[in-house]
Amino acid sequence: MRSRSFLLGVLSVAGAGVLAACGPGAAVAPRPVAPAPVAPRAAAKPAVSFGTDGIDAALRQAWQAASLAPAPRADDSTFLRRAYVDIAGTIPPHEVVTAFLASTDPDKRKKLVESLLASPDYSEHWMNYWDDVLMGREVKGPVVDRVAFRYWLRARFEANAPWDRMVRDLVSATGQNSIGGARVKVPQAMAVPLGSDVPKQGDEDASDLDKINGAVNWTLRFEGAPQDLAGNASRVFLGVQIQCAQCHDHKTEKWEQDDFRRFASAFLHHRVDPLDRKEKGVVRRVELVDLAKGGNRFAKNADVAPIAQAKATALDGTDLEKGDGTRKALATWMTARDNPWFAKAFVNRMWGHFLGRGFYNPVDDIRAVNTPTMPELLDKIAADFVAHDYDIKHLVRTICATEAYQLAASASAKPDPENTYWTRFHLVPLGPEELLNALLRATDLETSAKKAGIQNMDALRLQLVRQYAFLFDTDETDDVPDYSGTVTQALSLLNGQLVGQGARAIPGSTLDDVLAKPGDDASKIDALVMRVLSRKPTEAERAKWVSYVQIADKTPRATIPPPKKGGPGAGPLARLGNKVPPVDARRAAYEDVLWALLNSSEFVFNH
Amino acid sequence: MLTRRDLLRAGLMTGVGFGVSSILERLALAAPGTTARAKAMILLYMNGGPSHIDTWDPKAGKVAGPAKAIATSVPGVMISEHMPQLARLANKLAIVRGMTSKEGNHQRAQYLLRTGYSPNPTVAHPSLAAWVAKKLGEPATGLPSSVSLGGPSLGAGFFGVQYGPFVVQTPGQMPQNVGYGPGVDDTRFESRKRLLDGLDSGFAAQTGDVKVEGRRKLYEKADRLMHASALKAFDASEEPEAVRAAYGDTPFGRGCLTAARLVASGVRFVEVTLDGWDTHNDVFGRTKKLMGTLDPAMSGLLEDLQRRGLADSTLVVWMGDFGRTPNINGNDGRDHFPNAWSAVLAGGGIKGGVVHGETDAQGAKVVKDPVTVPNLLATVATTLGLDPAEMAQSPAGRPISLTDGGAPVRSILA
Repeated sequence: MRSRSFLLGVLSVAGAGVLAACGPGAAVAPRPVAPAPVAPRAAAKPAVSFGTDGIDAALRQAWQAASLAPAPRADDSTFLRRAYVDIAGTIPPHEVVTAFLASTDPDKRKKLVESLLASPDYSEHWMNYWDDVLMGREVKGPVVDRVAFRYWLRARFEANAPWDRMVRDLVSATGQNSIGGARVKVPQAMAVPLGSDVPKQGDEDASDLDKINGAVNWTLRFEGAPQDLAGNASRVFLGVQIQCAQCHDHKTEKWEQDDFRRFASAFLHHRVDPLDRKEKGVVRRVELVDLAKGGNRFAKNADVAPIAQAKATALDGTDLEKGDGTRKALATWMTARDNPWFAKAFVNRMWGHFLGRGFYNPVDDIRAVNTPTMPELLDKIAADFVAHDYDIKHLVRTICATEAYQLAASASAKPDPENTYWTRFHLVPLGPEELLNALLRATDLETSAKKAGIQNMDALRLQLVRQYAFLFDTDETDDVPDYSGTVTQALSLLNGQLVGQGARAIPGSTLDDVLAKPGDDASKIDALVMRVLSRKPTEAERAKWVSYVQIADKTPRATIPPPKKGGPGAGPLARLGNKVPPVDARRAAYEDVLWALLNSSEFVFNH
Repeated sequence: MLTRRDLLRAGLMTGVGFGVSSILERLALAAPGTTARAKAMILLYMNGGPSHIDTWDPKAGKVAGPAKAIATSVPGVMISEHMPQLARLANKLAIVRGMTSKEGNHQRAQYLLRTGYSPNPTVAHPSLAAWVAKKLGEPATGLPSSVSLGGPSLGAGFFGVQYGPFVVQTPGQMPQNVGYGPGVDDTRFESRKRLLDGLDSGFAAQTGDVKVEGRRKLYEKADRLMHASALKAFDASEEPEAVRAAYGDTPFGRGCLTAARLVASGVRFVEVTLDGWDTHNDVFGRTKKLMGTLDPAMSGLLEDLQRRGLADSTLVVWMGDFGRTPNINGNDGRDHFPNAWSAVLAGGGIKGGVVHGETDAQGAKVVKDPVTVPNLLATVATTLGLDPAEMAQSPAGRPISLTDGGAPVRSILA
């Protein structure tokens, strides 16, 4: 069996493909050619255009009508960090912060968004986002190749595949799931930055990859409960909660159980042909094949049989069993320009991602009874998205240029308590990957691990993903007014290894680097705050922290117990800095400041 | 009939510091017919789906395995010979042999068992543990309301992560990250906290967002836990050798011991997982071994709770995904079987020495008093003083009751 190690590649701790320099004007490294990329469709001339100006005007009007005043415009450093987190899933490198703040280019925000859209981090981030939404955090059975699926996703975002085509390919996917090989657990799959080692076309491995279609893994995820496929797809891609009708006629909507069954039937017109025998610890290769009828395969499954036997019909009554295959017809219907939900569902979700709250909330529940905010504005943005051929980057560009996206998170003169109309920026806790990427960048743990001679960076990355991706996982569809975190999360930031070791002044770390540079304490505090919070400290903060390190320097303190040796299961992180002699009081005080910065709400929220 | 004044006098005369209300509470709890007796629950979760025929519901003939059935302390009730200590304690147990469900897939069944609902992609139902955590609240000792020992369990659904279980990876040991990080001591932690406080006050003032305050409260909670004197309840190595030995030297045994310690420190819900019941092959060998772990651990727990004076206020529930087929497959195994299976309850609010429900001679069908999972969870909720019909609003605005229309099984309630 072929090794799939090339897919696992060399793991990089900086995660989302180290962003060397993605500041304004920085050159973006060319991407390796991905197998079977999606060529963007020839750009059609948009018939309608409702861009940023239209959104701004509509919101201005709404604010006026509701007697609300917007918060002031966010300053440059806030906007820079926000755009990095939202578009690229990490915080900016400090060189970029410095350059961005120094730049006098009036278009620098726009240019920043462009450079982020062109960065490898963009595809890495959206791969993570959609992998989580579509596949969840759990292992989904022996035929699901999570790495192949992630690889498929990333290639789409790299090529800026139009959203309708991406969903069509996903819903109607046929072909082989995997090139086989060892089955990778979910955290391991998530710890793999695919960018580092993509096979070139013409490679033996790449031709092997051409044989597979990673997209089928999404359908295969539901092999254990195929009745959930339709509900999931309609919720995620259409914002329609048809699955309520899975068990009974919908009480508040028009859907009846029969509608659900007929619609769900279309998803089941496929068969899964095994190519390998079952083997423990190995991805079983299978082939997903279209079928004209869904019926017999599920005859014995009482939950699925009534669905599979129903006549495949779209939610608007369109017969899906005509034409060149039911699943293709289904995919075409779902993504058609005149589908009433498809574009809106995506735009609502993206708006929710960037602005912290959708027009409809939760973002995947687009129902009239689900009291929306300004649904007519959503309609217009969705029409513009369709007119621009479902161009995701166009949508991001449009949203990021709006006045609403550039407002500060601070309260305005006439605040809106629920902030329904986006008059100030919604605070959103960083997601699991975002937080991990941010911590790694702020602490430069990768460099200190290398300097400490840690060979197995894979294990390090895996340990961190396990801790963070699962520990900090929350329901992405929620718009909760309160902060809902767990004690376990708080403990891991307060006492855990990533922050604890990352805040230390050990060779290669952020703090070590800052302290080694010439300059007085004020300049070092400035540098530290810049690295973690992507801004300059205020006068008061600078004075306070400078005095903290200077007083500490003059105060004799009890010897701090040396770091404990890692116990069983402590992982490679525990070994960091083992051989480093205890730091002096001044360096220890700097560690305290860095620790506080890393634990701060300002760091942990996107703001 | 005692009057209020009698009680008051009794309290004064004995010199015991109980307030009147506390005595009344005790009397109320002891009164017959009162359903809310348990204040805490320990769930022993048998992951993978234990074979009912090879444990609590032994059969004769073709479907039986090599293990014999033995008599218990309850006349006429027989269980597997591999649970001799539990057989002795059968007078404390309510064995429900009429369990039945429709979920034969692990993930779906585990969801059903923990929430009382079949999974439905529309709504993430809160688990029973989450209901308990939310309704009974945080213990004053600084420990979490709900703890899961050794397994991820299930989250709190739409109640939000704050009602989810506090997960401890290694039962019997201290949880991760409750001690200071490298090079940190009390003094240093305090100065760090002051720095952090300054930062967060500034950010809270600047944004005016309640989420910042919420996060500070969470940090305070974490801080309380780190410094709680009750924290050592997690460390089972403190117990005398004899006590530890009684539970058996296994992770599950240590989990059960830790569960007793946690309940004694005010924790409301503890889940301890025993994995390995998915016996598609070698069902008899594997089940025997699992019972070798289970028998001392569960009987040790019941006796230890008695010794600690917690038996009447702690509900202990034994359950797993589903039962296993009467038919023995080609690998000497049994496959998933949700039609008929067993669950066991003991302790606070439960009548001991009872068998409820009956399966046919093959253990293939419930022929008397079937109990659905919602009914089982409604029974559990009732003993904990919760109303099984209580509603909560889902994020999509749908009212969701604690169980899916479950009604308590009155005949096993004390």
